[in-house]
Amino acid sequence: MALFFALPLLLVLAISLATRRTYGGVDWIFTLVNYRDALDPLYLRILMKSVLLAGVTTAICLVIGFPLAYWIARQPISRQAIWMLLVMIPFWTNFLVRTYAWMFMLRTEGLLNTWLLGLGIISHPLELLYTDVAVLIGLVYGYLPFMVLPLYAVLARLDRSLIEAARDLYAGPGAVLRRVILPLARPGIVAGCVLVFVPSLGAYLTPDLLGGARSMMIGTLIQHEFLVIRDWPLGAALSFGLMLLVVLCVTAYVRWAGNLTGERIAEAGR
Amino acid sequence: MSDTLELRGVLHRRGGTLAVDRVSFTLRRGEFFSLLGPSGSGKTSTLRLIAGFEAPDEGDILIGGRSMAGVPANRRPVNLVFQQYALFPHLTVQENVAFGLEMAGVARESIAPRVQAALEMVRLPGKAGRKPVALSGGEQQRVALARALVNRPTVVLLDEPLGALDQQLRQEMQIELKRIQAESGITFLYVTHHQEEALTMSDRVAVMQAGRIVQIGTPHEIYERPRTAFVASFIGLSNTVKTAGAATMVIRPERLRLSDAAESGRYDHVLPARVEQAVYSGNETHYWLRLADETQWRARVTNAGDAKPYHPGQSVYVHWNTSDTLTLTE
Repeated sequence: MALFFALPLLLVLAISLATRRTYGGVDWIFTLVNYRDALDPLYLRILMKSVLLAGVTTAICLVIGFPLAYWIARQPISRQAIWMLLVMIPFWTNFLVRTYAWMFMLRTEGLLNTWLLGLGIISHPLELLYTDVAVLIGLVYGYLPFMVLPLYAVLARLDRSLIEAARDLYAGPGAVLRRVILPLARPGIVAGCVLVFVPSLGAYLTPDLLGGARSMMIGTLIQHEFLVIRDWPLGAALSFGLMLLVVLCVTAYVRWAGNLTGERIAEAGR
Repeated sequence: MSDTLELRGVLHRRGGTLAVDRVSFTLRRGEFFSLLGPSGSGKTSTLRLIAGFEAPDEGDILIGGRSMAGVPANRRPVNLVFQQYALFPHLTVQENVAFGLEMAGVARESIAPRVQAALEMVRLPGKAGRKPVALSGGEQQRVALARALVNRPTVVLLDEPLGALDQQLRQEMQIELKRIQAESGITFLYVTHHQEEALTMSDRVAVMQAGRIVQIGTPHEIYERPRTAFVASFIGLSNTVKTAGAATMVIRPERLRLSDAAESGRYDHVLPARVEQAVYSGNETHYWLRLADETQWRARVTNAGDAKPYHPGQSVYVHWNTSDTLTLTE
């Protein structure tokens, strides 16, 4: 098990410390030049943009996903399974096909523009495809189920009587949400955010197809280095760096959120 | 008109059936009032209507003389002690008890002393920093009570709060609840299906059946002068006495005297019977008897040191006086 995880990791690390050959492949000569190159401001800008985009994707998924998960959790139990099925169904379609569908919708002569023009809401078509907005839409669409699923799991388990108790104790709807529902849903929120943020950060298919050359993200950059520029060591250095960054961020985030759970468990033990 | 709680003709339908069927009663300030009835009799539904979680289809609920029509649960001056306590698991005992005060906008400085006082009243002063998961069932129950009492509501509603406790703890808590109610002077509306609990703790009891109130009275009145066969058999056991007239008469098992021989001189009535079962339970023995006409009666005999135990199959005589019988008025 550890083998399948550690071995590829070590391979990437090894390549990142090697020297490139002009048309791909590596010469096994140790060098740190790749990591120096990886810290180029151009690449860092792309990284920052990717982090921003992944962050906004996560935020939008949370804002859409939470009410959706909450609503589903309040349906009669027999219906809940159907709703969750509907949320999961897109997964059964090929990801590439779904992304192409979005291209169709967002093109200048695409579905969305045709509707908006037809309804008279706009006078000329919106340039949506090959922008950051298109990438955002694609990412939110693709990863929303990852947010809904853990949120639903937590909210379905929420004891209804706690909400009634809060109302009985004079809490208005806002206070019920802030003081009871959100704190108890926190594990689900943390899980959902991690499950959306991490893949969004490293995504390359969606930014590639929907963003085009103008909207380069770290995932497409790495792919570019490997398959176009053929600079494997640089690609490997960027990959390893990205992975390190993600591990650090996620660990810090989960620690922070987990501390609150840890506190509870420690208290209970006493 | 009561300045505490009054229900007038409250009616509530749930899924096509009448959960609460024209219920009316008035609470007096500072009394311990119980709604007693079997499962499905509408007592919890009534409680939830008073708390404001559901609205009645007909009738009115008045708290403090004010109609609660259209008033949502979070604006009613009542607090509910839930059957499963419903303590907020992510908050400490202190935060749980302070919750209602914070929501009501009570001044920050007054909250801590009031919480402290409430915890002292339920005898849990040292547990303020704990989370509910670290407390025993009995302690959680007290926290739930403190959380309601601290707000000084017009009425505290209790929904079978002792249901999850074991027998010993139950009985202790019954006495505790009674003490707390007397000390605080707050009106309690208590829902239970345990007749002995209702009789022990209440100033007055309302017996419910199928959504209706069948009889209201003091525990003594309910037990000694039940109005219907249902009340007679729900509150304590009763044996039906065959009479010539239309009226039904019952006699309580503890009023029967058993003997080997027929002592007609000493008692008004004697009947021969056969002992079917004898169950010894420490302070008394419980007998199942079969009368000559195949009716089954039950008798309870206190075990004084020299009382003869009767065995199954043995023939005995059952004695009672006319004054021991209860006549049902309906």
